Amino acid sequence: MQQVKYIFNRILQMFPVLIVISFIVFGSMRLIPGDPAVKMLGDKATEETLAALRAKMGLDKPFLVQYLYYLKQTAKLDFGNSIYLKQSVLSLFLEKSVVTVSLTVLTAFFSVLISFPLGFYAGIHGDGRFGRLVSSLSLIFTSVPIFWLGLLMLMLLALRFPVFPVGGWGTSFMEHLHSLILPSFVGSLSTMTLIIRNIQASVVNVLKKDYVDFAYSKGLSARKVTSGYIMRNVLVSTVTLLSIRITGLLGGSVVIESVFALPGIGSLLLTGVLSRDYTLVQGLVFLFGVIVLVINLLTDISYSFLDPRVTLK
Amino acid sequence: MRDVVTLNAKLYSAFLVAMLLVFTLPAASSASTEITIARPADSTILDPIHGNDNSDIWVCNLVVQGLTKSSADGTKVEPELAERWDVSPDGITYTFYLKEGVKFSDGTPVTTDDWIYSYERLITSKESVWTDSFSMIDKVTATGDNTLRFKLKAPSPFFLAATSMFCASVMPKAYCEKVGDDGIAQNPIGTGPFMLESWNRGEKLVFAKNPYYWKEGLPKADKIIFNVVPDDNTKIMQLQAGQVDVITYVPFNRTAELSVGRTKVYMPASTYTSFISVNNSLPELSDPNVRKALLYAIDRDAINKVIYNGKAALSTGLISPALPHYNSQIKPLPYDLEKAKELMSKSAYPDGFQISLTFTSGNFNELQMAVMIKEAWSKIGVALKLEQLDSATVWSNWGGMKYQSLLNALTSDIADPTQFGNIAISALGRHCYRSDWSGPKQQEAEIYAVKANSEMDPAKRAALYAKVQELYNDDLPLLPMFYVPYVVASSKSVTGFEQNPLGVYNFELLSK
Repeated sequence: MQQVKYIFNRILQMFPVLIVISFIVFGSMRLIPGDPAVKMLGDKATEETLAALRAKMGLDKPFLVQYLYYLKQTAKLDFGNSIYLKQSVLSLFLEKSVVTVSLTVLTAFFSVLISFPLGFYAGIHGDGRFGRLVSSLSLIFTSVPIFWLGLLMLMLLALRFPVFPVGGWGTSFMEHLHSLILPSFVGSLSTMTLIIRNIQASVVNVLKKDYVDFAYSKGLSARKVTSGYIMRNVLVSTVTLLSIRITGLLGGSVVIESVFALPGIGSLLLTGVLSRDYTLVQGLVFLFGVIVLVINLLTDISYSFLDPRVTLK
Repeated sequence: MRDVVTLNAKLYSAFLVAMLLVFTLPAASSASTEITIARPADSTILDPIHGNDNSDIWVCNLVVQGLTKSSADGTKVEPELAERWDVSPDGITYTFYLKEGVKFSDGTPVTTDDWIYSYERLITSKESVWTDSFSMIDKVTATGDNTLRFKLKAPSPFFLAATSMFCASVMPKAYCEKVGDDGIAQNPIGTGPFMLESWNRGEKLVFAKNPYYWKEGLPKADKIIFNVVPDDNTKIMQLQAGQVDVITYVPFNRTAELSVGRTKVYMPASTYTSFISVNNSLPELSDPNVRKALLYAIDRDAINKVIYNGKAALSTGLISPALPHYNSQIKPLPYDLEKAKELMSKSAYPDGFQISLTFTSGNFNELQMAVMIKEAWSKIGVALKLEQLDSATVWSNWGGMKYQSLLNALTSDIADPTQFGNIAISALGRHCYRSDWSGPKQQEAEIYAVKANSEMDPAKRAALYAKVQELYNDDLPLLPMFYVPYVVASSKSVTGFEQNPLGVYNFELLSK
């Protein structure tokens, strides 16, 4: 019951945050110079044609009138049509989010798949040569520009040894998966090394704890100690790290999607900003905001399942 | 060491290997001729009268066609859906005799009603930037099942060229009225060699062969696919790996490596003209001596080598050699630092001054050019402050004359110099095109440019434009830089890629 109340309260708290987000996005799009009408009609447009288009889009109305109308429509989950692409923002978002969400999920999957065994291994075998290797690799992967790494991977694994396609999205499910492998792997490298370091440190830390000694002396099997004591204690910090990285990955999708020619939300958002597509940018950023808030909420809820010492209040 | 369970290493590696195998299955290939083209940006509006971006305009004529078309070299008007035409002696009435039996890609026959509707939609649109090019039309009527009569308000030497523009194409009236402007923007229907099959925004635009195309045996390709690949390096690798057949907007510094091996490079002539806009209303830049000094001080050959691999030509103004009435007698000003210093000393600013140069951020070529110009102008005492802004801001600053100097470029959309003659010279045009040019030479040029708008004799008209270009080059309201060709690369096996100087694609013969 307490949990349900907690979740309900958290969801209520999202609304003011979303209103702030909507205002910031709405305001900043109008603060930056550049006029969507000019951008749409090009350099040959006359003042009359520009004025006619502005009036049609409602851009001649006062700022606050525009904002309140936008807020009202957003509350009804109507994000309008993209002024450039003439398509519903919501349907564009849903269509493109397939790419970005798959990319993010696969990236998280790769990070976890590779970092867990390695991090555990490093934690148990102490801070030897392997630990130092992981530390230096993690320094490299977090500082190397991701587009450069992506291009190198493409040159090696798509051009020299044609194992993967050179970017693109493909048409079938298998082709989608195939074309997502390289970008997700590249995207996961920095997260992976972070998680390895985190797990390694946590394992080293947990192994020193009295309750581990106690568990062993009680005669519990190694499997039970690993899964019930070590793993659970490591998980909480890893989930936090992963959730921060996932929201970061959503934002950073612009770069990966551009290098790998993936038609996701990142590319769509970039086009929207450059063409001053007000409705598109407002809608996309707002929906991005919702996703980030939901991920944060899920992370917080997961703590209570991972660690009984955490209670939701 | 205490006993701690870790993952079974063998099982784990077997899993990884299995995953790798599953994902490296080869892709299936198809038997029909599909040409895949990678370009940096997607189209946005495919309605011929509302689209104005090159990504829209260039693909328009795959789907829609007009009465006439621009010749492959861009300098003549040739018949397309009109077999021939008559002009009345007073130049007011044009009668077009239409080809018989032409059908739209949905199978319905083209009628004169469709033509009249399409032209009225273009002429009366309040939001089309192309309407101005057709303001000479008074009335369009049908005088038979296959004849169209255009009555003009006054004789116009560029009316025929206007009929060859993508926007003056025929579309089915019934369909257009049913789907409305937004529907047409997403799926235009016309008589062209291809029709739109599917469009995944931001990803790919697919055109399929029009089964009702009126030219027997054409087009050669079954499908044309435009993929969006924003990154230059990725795009080039896709071509090298054979994943795409053609790439557009190839960076000049990569042309050498793409000219050998399995790929080839084309450089179709274009009307693209790059220049530095200089705000003539600033006291420093209002002096023609200063503007001339600024141009003399730039070593354009060096910039050409660095940025365009030497493939661009030095420009003398806005009318490019790919347009009719280009004045080839004018020679571009050479690099002459002494002359530049001398001109500066004659001006009101012998010790120089400071101005800013605005250009688009993220464009490496423009950055390189800006740095070279800064270096060049510092030698005549002009200190340059570089200002990088995003493209939308650059445009609106230029449009509102809120800049001092600015890296700029224009292309023509009509195979006639009238666009430049009107907007860049006449005081009626927008300030930004004229850079607020004024003075006796501007006034003289304007007289000629206005005369050229109604001069029906081609030789006399050419003489008027020759004079306009001379005056322009004498006074330099802007600093002409380069005439730049389009750069396209393809696999060696690809044939029939045609792009006219206005940028418009003709893919009837495109095959591989």
